[in-house]
Parts: sequence; structure tokens; C-alpha cells
Amino acid sequence: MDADFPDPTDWIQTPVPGLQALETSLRCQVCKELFTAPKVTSCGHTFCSLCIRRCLSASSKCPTCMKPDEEPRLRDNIVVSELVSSFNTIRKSLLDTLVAKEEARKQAEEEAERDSRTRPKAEKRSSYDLDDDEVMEDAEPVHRPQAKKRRRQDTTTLRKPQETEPPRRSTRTSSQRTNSRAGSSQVIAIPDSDDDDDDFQPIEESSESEFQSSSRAKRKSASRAPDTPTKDSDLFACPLCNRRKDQSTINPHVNRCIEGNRSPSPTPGPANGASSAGTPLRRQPATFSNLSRSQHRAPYTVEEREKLRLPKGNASLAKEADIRKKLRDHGIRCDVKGKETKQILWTRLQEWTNLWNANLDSDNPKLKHVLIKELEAYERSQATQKHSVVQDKDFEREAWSNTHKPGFDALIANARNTVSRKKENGTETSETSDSAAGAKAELNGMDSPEVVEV
Amino acid sequence: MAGRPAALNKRLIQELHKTRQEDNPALTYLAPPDDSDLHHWRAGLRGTPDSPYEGGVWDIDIIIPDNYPLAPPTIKFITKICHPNINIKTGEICLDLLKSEWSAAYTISSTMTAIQTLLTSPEPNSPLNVDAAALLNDGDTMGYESLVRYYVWRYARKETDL
Repeated sequence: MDADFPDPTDWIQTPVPGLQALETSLRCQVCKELFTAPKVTSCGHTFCSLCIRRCLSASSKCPTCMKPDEEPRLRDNIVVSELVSSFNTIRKSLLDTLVAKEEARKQAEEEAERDSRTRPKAEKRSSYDLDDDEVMEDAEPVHRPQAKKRRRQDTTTLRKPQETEPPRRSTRTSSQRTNSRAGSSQVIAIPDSDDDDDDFQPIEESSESEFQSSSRAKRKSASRAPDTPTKDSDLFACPLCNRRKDQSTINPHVNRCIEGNRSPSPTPGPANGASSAGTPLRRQPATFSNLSRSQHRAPYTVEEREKLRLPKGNASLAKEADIRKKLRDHGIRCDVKGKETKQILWTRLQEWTNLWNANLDSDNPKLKHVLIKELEAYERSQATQKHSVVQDKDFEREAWSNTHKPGFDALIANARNTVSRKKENGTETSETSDSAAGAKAELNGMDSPEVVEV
Repeated sequence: MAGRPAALNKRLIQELHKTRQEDNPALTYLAPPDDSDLHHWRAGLRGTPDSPYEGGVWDIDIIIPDNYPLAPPTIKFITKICHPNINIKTGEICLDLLKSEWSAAYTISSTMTAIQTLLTSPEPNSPLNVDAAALLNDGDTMGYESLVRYYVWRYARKETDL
């Protein structure tokens, strides 16, 4: 699972669980991914550019501290951006190293235990011995007593574990470590989930995170391929290039076949993967050069960003015709017959503005046609659901309170009357109940904000 | 699953993964009952310790909308519970966090913790269970707690049985 959904909790099992907190703070609170184009709010919280833009268009509040904020006040968080990219580069190798170390430690512990069981005579010493070993193993993995024990254990009755498991103690060098990890700890990958969920938009797979996860899976397979032969029955032929892949790698592979190289000849995939397998540092540049030339462009400069930035606008001031014109100018689909309400069009324009502005901040911006496809996919994904009951930003507080001001005023006047009358004489009960009933009726006549909204 | 945004599914899987790694002390379990639908979760909420709810476990139904996390999940009690802000028949919860005060930074797990907190800090001025709220408003704490205990005994699953 950790292969496709890297998560801060991955670090719990390592000797340095504190890394969990580090990674948690490098992740966006909204999408729970590592920050993409991090932006800092005026209250000092950091989010992905797109996440915070969407949040602010929904509620104008910082998702963490609920302080009011606005889009124009967002600023780049350059340090965080650098932190994320350097963390992302080392994450996998760091995790692998630490997990291997922890496994080695556990293995040593088990062996020590087995050892103590197989020589009951030395019991008195062994318990002391065992503790000692544990501590020392933590501090310094390779040391004499441990090695001696292993040799002894090999010759004793405990053959079974040796046969079924690869010799894990030998996984000291990094190349062997990967093999042992792949073979023994059974990293369960669910690589196809991306493809299944993926709104039938091949284009969406190229969105950054998606892409990274598939490339990660690819890398994994490449590093595993030479040493762990998979049974032939477990292999599936790629429908495009006829290469045989095992279940966990077939889906990313097919995607790569479709997107990267449209010719049915063997893809550059395996070769590329193998070359990058040993050098995780080069991962990102290597992957992007491959498939995304048609979908990405060079990052925007600061001047370009300022020039191209779309203004948010104001729902109550914008006219339907203007919204339509804007959408058409951007090349976004909108119906001609006027079936779609202003609300729908406005939401579409808002989402487009968010996507567009966030894309300006991105390190590898997508091209416009890709963005438009994303917008359509996003809209389709939201189409099934009813309008949320939560009060929208678009709800016009002012206008609503203005229209119902007479009602409120009447209520207040009524209440004041009641109080003063009560003070004067407590006998006029019938009168007060009448006015109370009147007030109630008036209240019922008003639509609640939610109803107006929907 | 068609038509559901991939980013949302990814976030949900990540949340699920996290709940599996880290136990939330407020919950006995938290997972989708059906593997094919990630947008429908179930949880078992523990009664807050040192409260009349202690020892009970309530099943909770969680429906996740397509625009989660921008919109809050719809959360209902399946097991009957007596609480001023929870409708005794429908299990609907009155909590600002699930409506106007929702924030995209919350997770399903943290929301469940908030609901557990609601158990011990009822808000009798916006009641969904008028009887319970009336008891509290009249200052009849003893009566209120006895009523709660009765419902725990009568309807809730018991932590000791799990």
C-alpha cells in the first residue's frame, strides 16, 4: 500500500518515527498530499495553490484557523516549496534504508530469541545476553556475537525459516536491500486504483501526483525485475507492446504505452526505468521528459504570472452575458440556448479561474487544453451531487438582510413593546400574545438563507 | 465509481490508510462497510470516559459528498442515543462543525473525535432532542444523566461485549 499511497504513517515502523511529524507538516491539510505550488495565507498557514483557491472560493476562510482571508493576499511559500521537492527526492530511499534497518534489527532479535531457546543450558546467561544484543544491534548493526550466533543457528535444527525466507541479514548493501524488501515484506501495491478511479480521462493521469505514483510503481518494478522472477502464469501481456508484466505493474505500464510512445514497439519504459532505478535523484527530470512534452510547458515567470492572472470577479456584479462571453473567450464550453443558469456558469468560471491561477504557480504548468479537460472532468464529478446546504460565499448577506429589514424591524419593535408594556402593567397579556403571533407569522413568511440558496 | 474525482478517492484512501495505522481512541472501528464504495463509511463511537455515556458504543453512518473536503460529510447515528443535539429518531446531529463551521482541513477521524466531544458538551439551546435539552436547561443534571444511562443500557452496544 505504501507504494502507491505514501503517507506520513509509513515512518511509524522505522527507527525514526519522528519523521512522521516532519512529513505531516510538509503535506497540505486539504488534499493531504505533499504541497504543490505552496501558498501562504495572511494568517500564516500553507496550502497547495489549487486547494486554498478552491477553499477560499467556497468560504473565504482559512481552513485551519477559520480567519477570513482572500485570494489576492496569498503569497508564494518558496522555502516550503524547496523543502517539499528535496524531501520528495529522498523520501523513498530514506524510507527503504530505514525499513531495511528496522527489519534487520527485528530479524536479529528473533534470531537471538531462537538462539536462547535452542540452548537451554546457557539460560542464565542468555537472558542477559539477549538484552545486550538488542541494544548493541541498535547502535551498531554488524558485530561479532551476532555473526557467531548466526553460524551456529544455521547448523542447528532451525532449517525451515532459512528455507522459506531469503537470508535477510545479508541485505546490507543497498542493491540487495531492495530485493529482500520486495521479496520478504510483501509490499502490497494497488496500482490499478488510479486507473480505475480515473474519470475516464487519459489526460487526468498526467496530473502530477498521479503521474508520480505510476512512475514510482514503474521504478519499483524495474528495480525488482532482474532478481525476482515472477511466475509466468502471473504475467499479463500488454495489449500494445506484448511485453509480459505482472499484475501490479501492468496498469501503469499500459498507461505509459498509450501516452508515452504510441507506436506498438517495445516501449522505452523498462530501459528508462532501469537506468533511473539506481539513481533516485534523477527521477523527476527523467520522467517528465518522457511523456509530458505535449502537455506541459516551462514554468511561468513572475511577470507572466502577473499578466496572465485572472481576476476573481464578483458574483452579484457579473452579468450572465458577461460570464458567457468570458467563458467563450477562454474556449470553455457553455451552452448557446441559455439553458444553464447564471449560478452554474458562475461556478464554472470560478473553477476555471482557480485552475488557471493555480496552474500559473505550478512548477510544471499544463497547457490550456489540458486544463480545460480537467475543468470538464471536475464538473462532471461534481454534477451528481446536490447543491450543498452549507452557505455559499455567493450568498448575498447584505441583499438578504435589506429585503427582510422591515420584518426584522417589526420584530424588534414588537419585542420592545412587549417589554415596556410588561413593565407598565402585567395585565395586557392578550395584546402581547397577539403581537407575538404576528411576529411569528412574519418570520415564517421569510425564507431561510438555505432555502434561498438552493 | 465512475465520475468520481480521482483526487478525492486518493485522499479518502489516504485517510483510510492513516486510520489503519493510527488508532483513534474515540473509535472502535472506522472503515467503509463495502470495499467498492469509498464514499460511505461506518464508525463505532465510544462514549466519553467519565460521562454517562461511558461504556456505550454507537454505530455511525458517514456519507462523503463528491466535493469533500470542501463540503462536510453527512453523519448520522444509527444506534439510538439520547443527547440534546442529536435527533433520537433519525440520528441527525446538530453540530456547527458539520455545517457552517466545516473546514477542509478536517478529516473523518478528527470529525468523529469532535462528535465524541459533543457528547460531553451538549448545547441545549439548539436542541434536536427537546426533552433531554429541557432537563438540562432546568438544571436537572441527575435526571438528564439517568435518562442518558437508560438509553445507553437499553440501546447502545456495550464496550465490554466487543
